[in-house]
Amino acid sequence: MGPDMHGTPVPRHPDGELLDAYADGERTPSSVDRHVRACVDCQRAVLALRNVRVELSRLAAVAMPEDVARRIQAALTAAPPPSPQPDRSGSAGRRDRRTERRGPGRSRRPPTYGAAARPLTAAPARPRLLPRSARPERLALLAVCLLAVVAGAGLLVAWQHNGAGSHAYESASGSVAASGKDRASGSAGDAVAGPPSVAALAPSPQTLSGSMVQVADSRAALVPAAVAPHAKDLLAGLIPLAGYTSLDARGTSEAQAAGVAASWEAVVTPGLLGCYEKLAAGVGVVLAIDRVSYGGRDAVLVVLDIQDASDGPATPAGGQSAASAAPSAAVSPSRDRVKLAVLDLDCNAEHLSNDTRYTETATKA
Amino acid sequence: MHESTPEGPDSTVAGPVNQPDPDVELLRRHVDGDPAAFADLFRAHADYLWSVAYRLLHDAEDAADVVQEAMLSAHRRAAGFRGESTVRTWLHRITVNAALDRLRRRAARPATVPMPTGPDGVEHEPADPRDAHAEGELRLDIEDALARLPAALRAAVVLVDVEGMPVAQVAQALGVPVGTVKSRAARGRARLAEHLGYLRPGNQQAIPSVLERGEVSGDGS
Repeated sequence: MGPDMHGTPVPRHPDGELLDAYADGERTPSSVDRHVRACVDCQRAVLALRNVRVELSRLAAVAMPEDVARRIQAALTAAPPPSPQPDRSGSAGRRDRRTERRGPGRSRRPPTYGAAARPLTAAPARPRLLPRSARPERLALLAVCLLAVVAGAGLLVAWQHNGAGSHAYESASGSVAASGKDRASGSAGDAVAGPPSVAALAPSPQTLSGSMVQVADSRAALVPAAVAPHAKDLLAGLIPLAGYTSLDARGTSEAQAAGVAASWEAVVTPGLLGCYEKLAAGVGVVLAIDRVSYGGRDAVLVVLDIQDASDGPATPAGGQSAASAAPSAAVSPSRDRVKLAVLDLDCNAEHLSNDTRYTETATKA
Repeated sequence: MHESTPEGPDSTVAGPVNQPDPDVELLRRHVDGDPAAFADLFRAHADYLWSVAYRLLHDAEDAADVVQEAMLSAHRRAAGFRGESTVRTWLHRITVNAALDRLRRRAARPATVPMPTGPDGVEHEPADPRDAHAEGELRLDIEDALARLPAALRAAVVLVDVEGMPVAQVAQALGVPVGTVKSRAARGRARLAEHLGYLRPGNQQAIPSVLERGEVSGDGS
């Protein structure tokens, strides 16, 4: 039987690659087809190769291990900002691989960064100094968590503190959900600033009235590095809420009328309300307050959503004993930032600066 | 974490045509200085990129290094993204190139005894899995079977069949002629067919010889 004779199988099996091409439906010499039609072994091989392709094409994605994801997330967080100069290739060029191998920890940031909004923990060497939970990648979850909290607001409004008086604040749920939606357009984040300058203190209509504020009574002992993570937990609903208040005069009276415990009253005293209002003026709305311990003394942590509309960087002011631990660069307002302030429990708006133990503005890094 | 759209790196249509690509928006926000945007982008594609890196390298540590390297590169060069592909494809390409780079460096400095290599630089397996099959070992899971392939064959199979990349693109990424990619992919599939039990070399001596002939007949390039 010669290979050139019509209608007879080619005696030798086709080359493996040719058979593979045939299995894939590619154009192959007609002799291949003639052979395969007559050769059971090659028919099996073709079927097997097709099965392999199908199996390969159906392989599902493999989930990235959590620790790898966290590690890369941290490396990205520590990376310098993107170069403003478009890369020459924009694709998978290999020329700058060398610099890619520099590793995540070594940033090439210029010594000053002016008014650019930066994640507070991006300062050189800071990631090593802060606990893992203080790193910006955790804070990046702030907005998402806030949305989750808002979505679940109806469930959260119930009095959760100590299980006591769990019936006490249910009446607020409707308005909480409504105001929560309004709030969701702004969002969380973080970096540094002092209290707003006294000159900018005309209360804006949006600052306090009408917004429901999460109130917690965690009594957590905070140090500067723990403030931002704690605030994140607070916004994420990980800290049991005592309830919500509207922080305006009417809300206060409602809270009192509902028989709220003394701990609640401690963070909505007229003095503190004045401080909240002063803090919020020109900055944004108060999202949450939590009774904490700071430097061994009772204090209240205030989380404010910085509004996009605010203009001019917050002015660093006195009373920042924790400034060395906190990032000290002033940042210009941008989207998705929260201001965090720790106030003395007996804060008085007249002496807000003196009664402010610690402040921090954070971008949603 | 994973998108529900088809997996092919060139499946550029991810929805209605006029729908703005959320990835492009994230990349733009990143370039504009939004520190959270790139993290979102990473999370959205982490599994997708991990899959290709891990399947190419079959070493979790190396795969993690490679994805990190690729993400830092993309993070830095985001302003250079010109929208000629989807962001997903762009990230995929950077990751694949980083992984292949890693494979090349691995090959260049053998940590242990250098493997004998075939005509086109494909090393032979340390142990022939066919022996195990002949001894009656159960058929392998496809991931295990892939892991047993020599790296060069695996790269071709993974990129062409799993990732769905065009052969020409794979050839460019690997720095070899198109014919070499086809040849390696074909040989990789043939071995997989055996490992998966579609072919039983113990009983059908003819078939492996059929499929392996490409091994000695050169690259086909």
